[in-house]
Amino acid sequence: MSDTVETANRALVTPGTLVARGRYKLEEGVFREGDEIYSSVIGLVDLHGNTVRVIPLEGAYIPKPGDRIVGMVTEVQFLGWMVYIRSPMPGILRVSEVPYNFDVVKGNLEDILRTSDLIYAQVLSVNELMQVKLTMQEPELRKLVGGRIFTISPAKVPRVIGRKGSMISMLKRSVCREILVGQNGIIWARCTDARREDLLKTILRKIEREAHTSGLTNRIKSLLQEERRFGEAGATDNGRQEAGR
Amino acid sequence: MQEVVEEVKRESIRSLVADGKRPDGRAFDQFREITYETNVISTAEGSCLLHLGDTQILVAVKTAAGEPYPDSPDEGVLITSAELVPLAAPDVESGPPLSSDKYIEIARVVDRSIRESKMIDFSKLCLERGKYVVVVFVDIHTLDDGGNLIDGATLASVIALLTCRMKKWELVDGKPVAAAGQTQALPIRRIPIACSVAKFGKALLVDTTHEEEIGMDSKIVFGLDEEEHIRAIQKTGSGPWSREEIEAALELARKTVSDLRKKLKLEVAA
Amino acid sequence: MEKPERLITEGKRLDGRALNELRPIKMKVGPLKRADGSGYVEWGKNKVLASVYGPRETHPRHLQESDSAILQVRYNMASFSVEERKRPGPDRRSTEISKVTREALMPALFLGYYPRSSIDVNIEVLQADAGTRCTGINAASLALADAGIPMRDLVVAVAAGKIDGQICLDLDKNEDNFGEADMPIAVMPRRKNITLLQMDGDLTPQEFMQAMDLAMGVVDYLYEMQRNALMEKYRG
Repeated sequence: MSDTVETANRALVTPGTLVARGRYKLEEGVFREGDEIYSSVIGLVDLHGNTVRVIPLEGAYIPKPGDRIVGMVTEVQFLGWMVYIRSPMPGILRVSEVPYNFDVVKGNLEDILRTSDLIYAQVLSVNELMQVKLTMQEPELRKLVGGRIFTISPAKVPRVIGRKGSMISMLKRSVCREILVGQNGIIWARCTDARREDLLKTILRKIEREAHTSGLTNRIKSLLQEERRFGEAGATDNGRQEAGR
Repeated sequence: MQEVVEEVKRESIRSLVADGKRPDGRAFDQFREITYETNVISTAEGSCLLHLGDTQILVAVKTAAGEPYPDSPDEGVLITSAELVPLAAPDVESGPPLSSDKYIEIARVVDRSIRESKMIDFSKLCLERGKYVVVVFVDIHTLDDGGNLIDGATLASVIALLTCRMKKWELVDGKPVAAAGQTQALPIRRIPIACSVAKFGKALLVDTTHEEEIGMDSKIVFGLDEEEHIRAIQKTGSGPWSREEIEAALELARKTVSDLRKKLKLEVAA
Repeated sequence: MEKPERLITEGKRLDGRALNELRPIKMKVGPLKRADGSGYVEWGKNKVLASVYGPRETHPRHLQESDSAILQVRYNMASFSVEERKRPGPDRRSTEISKVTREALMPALFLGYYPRSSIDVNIEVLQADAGTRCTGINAASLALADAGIPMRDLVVAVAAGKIDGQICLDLDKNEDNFGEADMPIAVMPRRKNITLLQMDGDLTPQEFMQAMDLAMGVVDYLYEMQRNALMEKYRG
């Protein structure tokens, strides 16, 4: 019985497609039936070494410890808050997990965070009941003020960040200095004006549609250059530097 | 807690069946004992209280005069409904939507066997074409859910219809009236019988108890007439079947229904 | 329409099809932007839209299961979908169809991946011409894959039946009304596992197996069509 590959690497597959046969190590997007390995989602086949997976092109956000996410407070509770994080179960932020001194007797939780507040937080743990505990006890984690929210399919988040952060760095340089990308597909950005926010929205839509194609980074780069050519009223220092290049 | 208990029960039934055994010791192709009484409800024109092992089902038949369906203006109408009476089982299933779709399915599948086999000759139930026909109501009340409700309900409904003494409807001054003190039999042509075959892995069983239904993958109900023509089929439950398994199930259903007919000796009323 | 004298004349049906011919089918993936996944299928004159939300929090809460997601399916016919306007809202037929559709899709899904969650499928029939439950299952399969729900396989569905005493494929409204049997089937194509099977009418056991084989014969064709529709969304 040999190990065989049944589809090309990077091939686009649909659920139930035979991807490989044999003793491969399985990662996401695949399942085994006896000797055969099938894709469980629509995605791109990724074979490296003796590992096989299918990178999903769509899918819900399933929280993992360490994930940085953007969420919205939905309820102020007894000793903490319930937070919408766009996953099947909401997130729980205990008052002990925020970097503020809180007087349990006299303090008012609403003074720290109230419903509808946006936060940049980190997933602390997920237990077997799918209860998600959040924390804000890290330097960059904070309440988000102003700015605008964009949503993208969680499966596309890696593309927004790019290899070694190349895509997100480009966006921060050329569009909006402040962008926070949540692993849960919620992105917060505070740009200098509405036009830039709209531009960011267009770019995110484009990334979402073309996430699975190659050459996307270059296409976004061209798009940004086009934008610069057609009017830069109120450009920041940042922008002028770019135009010179 | 409920879920854990169910899971344990499910596993133990499945391993029993895998060993070729059933909790009550029956053979895989054996029906539980069937007993029934008819005319138990005096306010109904036909009725049957049926016992199938621990399952108890009461079916009542009543008629009324009403409008025909537009596409069959000279035919009577059949309306079948099924209700779970709360005393029938502890509330294992959660929420109204999930449990009521089971009962809607029961009513519709029972109706299908009766309707598609053309058991009742609806053309004889017309009072005035396009205006008045006899409407036959078959109401299924599950009193005790001991499993295999569809087969039990079909049988109880068929018996209630066979033994029904229907009001004698006639037109008086153009309006339908039930002639006082007179009754008649329903115009019956065929007697359908339903047999459900349950799948446990590779094993096929008939007449599942409520316990066995927790452990099974799914079942297929076959509604057969006296010529062994199939009049209704319903796969119910989520486990998948292969073509060969379906063929084997049909064969098992045919044999079982044939045995039931010999045992029950149901006849069209004179 | 009055019952036509014959549904088959010289091997051709009223709409010109052969006995084993399907009506024209078009499939599209992802037509709805708000839903997590969506599918749209035109099958003959049927027009059916399916959406998937989930996995998400279960409502009502008490329906949730500790070790797997639950699947909730709602099949609904729009009031304008049929010749004579239908009263809006669920009726017993749509409740039964919702149940059997749910049972047809469940075996294909890895529900264990999302404990305590709910995957909600909505099937909306916009225009009906017999075969809506099969069309709906095809649309739902596309929508589930589009939503990224992990699946063992896609699910295809088609109906076979009997008209003028002959076994045929894919009955339209007139054939369903005036024919002798209608049998919808849903299948997971890889292993040819049957997940939905219903019949009403009159079939001998031989006719039943014949009808089943006729339906199984187009499963691979419908599978290819679903796969192409899914990949089209990313290739185009």
